Amino acid sequence: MPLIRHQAALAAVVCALASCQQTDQQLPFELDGGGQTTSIGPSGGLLSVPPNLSIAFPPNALASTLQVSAVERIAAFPNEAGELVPIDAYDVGPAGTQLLVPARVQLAVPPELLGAGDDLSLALALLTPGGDVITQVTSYDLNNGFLTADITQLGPLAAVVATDAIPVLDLASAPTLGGGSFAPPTVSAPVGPARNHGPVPPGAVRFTASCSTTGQSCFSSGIVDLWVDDVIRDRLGQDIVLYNANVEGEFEFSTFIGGRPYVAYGYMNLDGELRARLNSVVAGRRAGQEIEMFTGSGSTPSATAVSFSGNVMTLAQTSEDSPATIEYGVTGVGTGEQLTLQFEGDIEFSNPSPAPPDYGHIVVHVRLRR
Amino acid sequence: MKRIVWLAAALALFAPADAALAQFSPGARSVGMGGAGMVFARGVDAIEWNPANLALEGGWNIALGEAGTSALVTGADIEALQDMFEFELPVFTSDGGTAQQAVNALPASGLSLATVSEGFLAGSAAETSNGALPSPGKGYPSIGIAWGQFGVRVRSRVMSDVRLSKELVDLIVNDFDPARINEYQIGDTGFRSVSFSEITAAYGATLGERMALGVSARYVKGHKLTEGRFFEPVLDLVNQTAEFNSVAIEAPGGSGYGVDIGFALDLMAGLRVSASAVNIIQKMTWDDALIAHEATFFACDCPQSDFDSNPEDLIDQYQAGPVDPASMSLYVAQKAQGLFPGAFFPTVFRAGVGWRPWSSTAIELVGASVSPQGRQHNQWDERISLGIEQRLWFLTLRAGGAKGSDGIQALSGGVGLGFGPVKLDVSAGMMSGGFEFASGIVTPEDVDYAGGHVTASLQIMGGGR
Repeated sequence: MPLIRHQAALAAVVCALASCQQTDQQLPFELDGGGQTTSIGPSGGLLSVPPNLSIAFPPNALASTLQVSAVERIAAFPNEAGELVPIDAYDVGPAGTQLLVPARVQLAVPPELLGAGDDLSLALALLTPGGDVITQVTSYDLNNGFLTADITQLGPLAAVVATDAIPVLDLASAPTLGGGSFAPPTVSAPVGPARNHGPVPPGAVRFTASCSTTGQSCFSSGIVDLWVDDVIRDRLGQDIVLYNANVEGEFEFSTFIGGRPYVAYGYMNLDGELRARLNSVVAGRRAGQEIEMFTGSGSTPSATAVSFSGNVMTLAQTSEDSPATIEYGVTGVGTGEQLTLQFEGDIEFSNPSPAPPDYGHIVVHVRLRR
Repeated sequence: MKRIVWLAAALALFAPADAALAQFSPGARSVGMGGAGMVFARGVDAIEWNPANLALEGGWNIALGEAGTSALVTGADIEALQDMFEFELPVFTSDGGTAQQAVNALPASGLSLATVSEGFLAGSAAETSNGALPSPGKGYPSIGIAWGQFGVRVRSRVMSDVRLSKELVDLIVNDFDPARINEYQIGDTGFRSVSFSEITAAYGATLGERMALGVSARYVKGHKLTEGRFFEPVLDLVNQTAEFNSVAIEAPGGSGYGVDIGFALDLMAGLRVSASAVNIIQKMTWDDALIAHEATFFACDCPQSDFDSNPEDLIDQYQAGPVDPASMSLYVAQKAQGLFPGAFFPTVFRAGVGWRPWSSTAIELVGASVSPQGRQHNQWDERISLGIEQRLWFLTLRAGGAKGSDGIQALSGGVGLGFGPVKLDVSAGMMSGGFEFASGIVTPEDVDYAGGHVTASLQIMGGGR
């Protein structure tokens, strides 16, 4: 019996002791992401609001020493750049301070807060003193949820998911445009000088396209479609979008003979950010100069001769090629007409020296209407 | 090829376990018996395995030291590991094999390496570190004494695990290639290391003639707790460059205590059941004065690329400084948050049965289980082991096998030499997901493990059973 009592007592002690489990030790500081002010001078420094935000100022980013602050933003952040990610936005000040060298911002954006595919459209938005929202080219660590971007001025910052990200497709699936003709003007007259957004000159027809992050969305308007070849897809992966697209284009045709124009005047600008998922990182690069063209031989648009054959229009002189052939298609839209033009550009990708660079091909269809 | 050798060296630095001095678990006897050895452990060994045995086994014992190595690789089986070594070994003969072949031999999922080291020797080996890189700190020498029902043991350990992505190895070995910018992936590349010394006092008491209870109380001196990792690169697709950030957070010391209990019962002559619980009470507190080690590596196809220079120069870029919440990168903040959770010792439960048909032969079957709380334990702690020991005059032969959690299997053997009271024991073994030649007995698991351990110990002992 004494032995049994001993065992029972031992068992009771063991059970009691086994319930004593250590809890996790806490960090000696709070990581509440609330706000921080620090002095940053020309030698650079780091402003941190852990675990949410850090801004690294490299040497010479500031000309003189400043009290730089980052505090949780109370006021609503404008949503014109996209849907706000439900994390804290920060007022970084003094707002409007221009940086002589870009500062590196990191914002913690937990991947679980993003919807499917939103990682491709994620950006850091900066609100300028003038009320404009500028989105920065970013790199997003999908494993750890760190959104990284460089900024050139201080101001409120937030993470946004753009609602106008346009999927970039495989070039092999790009449709061939059908050519066609459009209705001549009721009055026949030569084309006049450039009249950007002015009245259509007598004897001319004008097709226009316009979409932007602040006006009509390029995504919802369907104005732009893009395709890229395998070089780009190999370099940037299969998941690519055009983000923050801005399109501005105008083409006037005049000097109609036999229902066909012989003079053209126009320009086309496409600007945006190609964003791609590369393994565990989403990164972007500006695409702008690749798709930029105007008619004429000078530094600004001017009239040039145009001819049509099949589904190709040939412009005698352009800023890109002289002559330049452009695939096109004309379709009726309601009471008007839609002219779809195909623009092409190349993106350079470097290789380990001394190997020459690779060039990837990008094709854009822009729909202009009259 | 120099780069891959350097990489191995860097890994050893990052995982401050000096592999050459690692130990599998206390006692060459246990190692030789495949992790068994608890039931009839005696002397200083009993302090670790079951303090109740101090009362049942008696005698005296002075442990003069142990040295050994233990490493377990996850992500590659023994054959794959051999492939890697075949490419690596020619480094030392300067012919055959290329760095690219070695990289190719790495599994796509990367590698994970877990080590347990004897802390005194590992700490001494890493003393040359200039402080920019985390080091394990210096442990106490491993010694112990047991006399009758009492025992005291001092020992040090460094436990670490390192995870490495194939792409990062490729980058370090082959330099940055902008054409492959979409391939570089860091994944879970990083490490965690803890080093500590323990001073344990144990006492065993008999209850009746056949039963004994034991208790151990332990003071723990924490030397270093370190956790670090690489982060996914920040990519610049216009200039086709990448920045790789690496951070390690270190708690430079700590202290704690632990209590173990044990029970042993001789059911009949030669047949014993044994059970123990290590760290049944436990507390570990690490220093709050955290230190951050940070480095950013720039990669480009240009002379400014950090990966274009000597790989050992990468280490020079690490800078150490105190963690300041007003001025810490998000990398530091993230790693700091992961340092303390689970940074203590879990309770390890062991139970076994042993049969000693005559004094020169012992067979043991031992199971061990680890409570889910606490990360500071050997990956190999959760296992069931079967071992046998046979004494032949001055020679002792040991053999054993074990099956651990996650499908790890082990085979071990050992030999002991006794010259009067002086005992020299050497044991070694292999760990794998399965052994083909033993597949008739234990079915191989579909897991990639490869590892091994070698342990040697020198003791003076006498008296007792």
